[in-house]
Amino acid sequence: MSPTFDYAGARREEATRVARKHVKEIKGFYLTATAYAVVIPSLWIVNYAMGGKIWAHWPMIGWGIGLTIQGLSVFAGRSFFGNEWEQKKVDEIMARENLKVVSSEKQLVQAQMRMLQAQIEPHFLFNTLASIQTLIPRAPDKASLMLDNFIAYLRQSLTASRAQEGTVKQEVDLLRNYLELLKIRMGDRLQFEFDIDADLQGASLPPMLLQPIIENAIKHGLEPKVEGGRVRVTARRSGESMVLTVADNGLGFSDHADSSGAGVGLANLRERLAVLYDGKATLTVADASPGTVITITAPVGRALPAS
Amino acid sequence: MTTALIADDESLLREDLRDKLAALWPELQVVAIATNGNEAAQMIAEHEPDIAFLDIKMPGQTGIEVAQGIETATRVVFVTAYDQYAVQAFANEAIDYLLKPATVERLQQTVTRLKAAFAQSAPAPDLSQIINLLSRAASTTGGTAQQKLRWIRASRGEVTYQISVDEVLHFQSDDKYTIVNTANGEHVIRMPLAELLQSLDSEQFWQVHRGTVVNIHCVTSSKRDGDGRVTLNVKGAPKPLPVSRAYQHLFKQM
Repeated sequence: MSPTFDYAGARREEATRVARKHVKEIKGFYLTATAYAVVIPSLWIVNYAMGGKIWAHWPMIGWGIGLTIQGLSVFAGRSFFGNEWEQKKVDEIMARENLKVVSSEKQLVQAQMRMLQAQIEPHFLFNTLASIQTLIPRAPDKASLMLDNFIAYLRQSLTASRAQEGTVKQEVDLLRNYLELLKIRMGDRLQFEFDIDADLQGASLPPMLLQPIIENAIKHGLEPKVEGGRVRVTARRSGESMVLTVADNGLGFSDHADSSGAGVGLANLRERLAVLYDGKATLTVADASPGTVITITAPVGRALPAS
Repeated sequence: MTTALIADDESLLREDLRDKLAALWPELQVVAIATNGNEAAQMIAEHEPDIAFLDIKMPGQTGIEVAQGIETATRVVFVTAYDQYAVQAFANEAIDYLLKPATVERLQQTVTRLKAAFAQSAPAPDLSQIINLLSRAASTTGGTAQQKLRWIRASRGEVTYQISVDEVLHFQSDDKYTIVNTANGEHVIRMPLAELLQSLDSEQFWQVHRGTVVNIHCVTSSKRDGDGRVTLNVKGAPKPLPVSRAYQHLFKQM
C-alpha cells in the first residue's frame, strides 16, 4: 500500500476519459437516429402524397437526403445534445464509477485497520513483561509458563492480523490465552467463562473482531473496579445467524471517565462489520447494570470474500 | 528515618518494588502498601509517609487523582507501565517517575535523587502542572467550552432552582454528582465535577483539592498551620476549606 500514490485520483481521471468517449459515441448514435427518425417518415409521407413517383429521381434524392440528414444532425447536436447534455451524461457515468472507487478504497482502509489491529496494546505488553520479570527470581517455573503463554498469544494475534479469514474456534483460543495472561496479573479480580455452541466452532469469523471487545471490557469495565469482576463470552447459533455476546459485570459506560475511548473503538468495529458483512451484521451495546453486554449478530457462513 | 508507601493493583509488582527498595535503600521503611487508589489516599492521610510510590493506572482513584488529594508533605514517585505522553510530561516537570518493571539501575538513580532531596530538605516538586496536563488528557469532553457557564440549574423535588455561578461558594464532587454550595444551602446536580470544570470560568473557579472547586471571589483569606496544611476562609461557608499540596502554590504570598 503506497500512501503517496493517489490511486483514487488516477482511477477517477481514467474513468472520466472513458466516460467522455462513451458519451460522444452515445451522442453520435442519438443524432443519427433522430435524423433518420425525422427524414425517413417524411419521405414516406411525401412519397405517398405524390403517388409514389418520387423514386424515379433516386440518386439526386439520395444525395439530398444524405445532406439533409447531416444538416439535421448538426442542428440537433447543437440544440438538444449540446455541452450541457454531454456533461450531464458524463456526470452520471462518473457517479457510478465513484461508487466503485469508494468501495475499493474501503477495502484498502479495511486492510489498514487489520494492520493496526496487529499492534499489541502497549500497557498489556509492558505489564505482562513486567509480571514475567518479577516472577523469574520468585517462581521461575511459573515465569516460564507465563512466557510460553505470552509467546503463544503473540503468535496468534500476529497470524490473526495477517489472515483475512478465521474461525470462531481460532478467535476463542486467542481470547482464552489473553484472559489467562490477564488472570495471572489480576488474580481474583478477574473471572471468565466461555460458552460456545459446538456447531459454531468451525464457523467463519473475521479474526480480531471479539478481541477488542474483550480488551475494552477489561480496560474500562473490570480493571478500574476495585473488586474486579467477571467476563462471559457466548456464541449461539440462531437459524442462519450466529449471536456472539461479551458480557462483563464491571463499571458500565456511564460509570467511568474514559468511555469516549471505548466509544471510538466500537465505532471502528461497527465500520469493520459493515464492510465485512455488507451491512448484514449488527452490533448492540446494552447496559447490564452492573456492567455491559455487547452483542454481535452476523450471518453464519462466509463473510465477504476478501479481495 | 524515611518512610514510604507503595501503591499498585498488581501484587507481583508491589512485592517486586518492595524487595528492590529493600536491597537499594535498607533504611527506608515501607509503612503501608495499598492495592488500589482509594486505599492509597486513605493510607497517605493516615501514615503521612515521606515518599509515595504511586502506580498511575489503579482502580478506585488513579495515581494522578491520589496526588491531587494529598495534603501531607509527601513526595510522589509515579510508576507507569507505558505512557509516552505522561513520561514526557514527567521529564519536563522534573517529576520522579519509574517505568514498570523497575530496573535496578533506574531505581538506584531515583533512590539517590530522593536521598539527596531529603538530606537538603529540598521542597517537593510542584505537581499542579502535571496534574493539569494528565487529568486534562484523561477527560472525556475534549476541547474547551467557549461559553462560560453563568447559571446552574438544580432540582429539589418539583422546584428547579436557577443559581447564578456568582452565588456559588464552592463545588464538591460526589462520584457522578456534584454538590453546589451556596450561602443559602446545598444543591445537588447530576454532572460529575470534571465535566463541570470544563465549562466554568477558570479565572473565577479554581480547583483546590481532589474534589473541590472554589469560587475565588468568595475567598477572603487562607491560613497555613504548623503542619504546613492550608485552609481557605470562604465568606458564607461554615467551615474553612482544605487545600491540597498540589494547589497550595495558588495561595502563597506574593
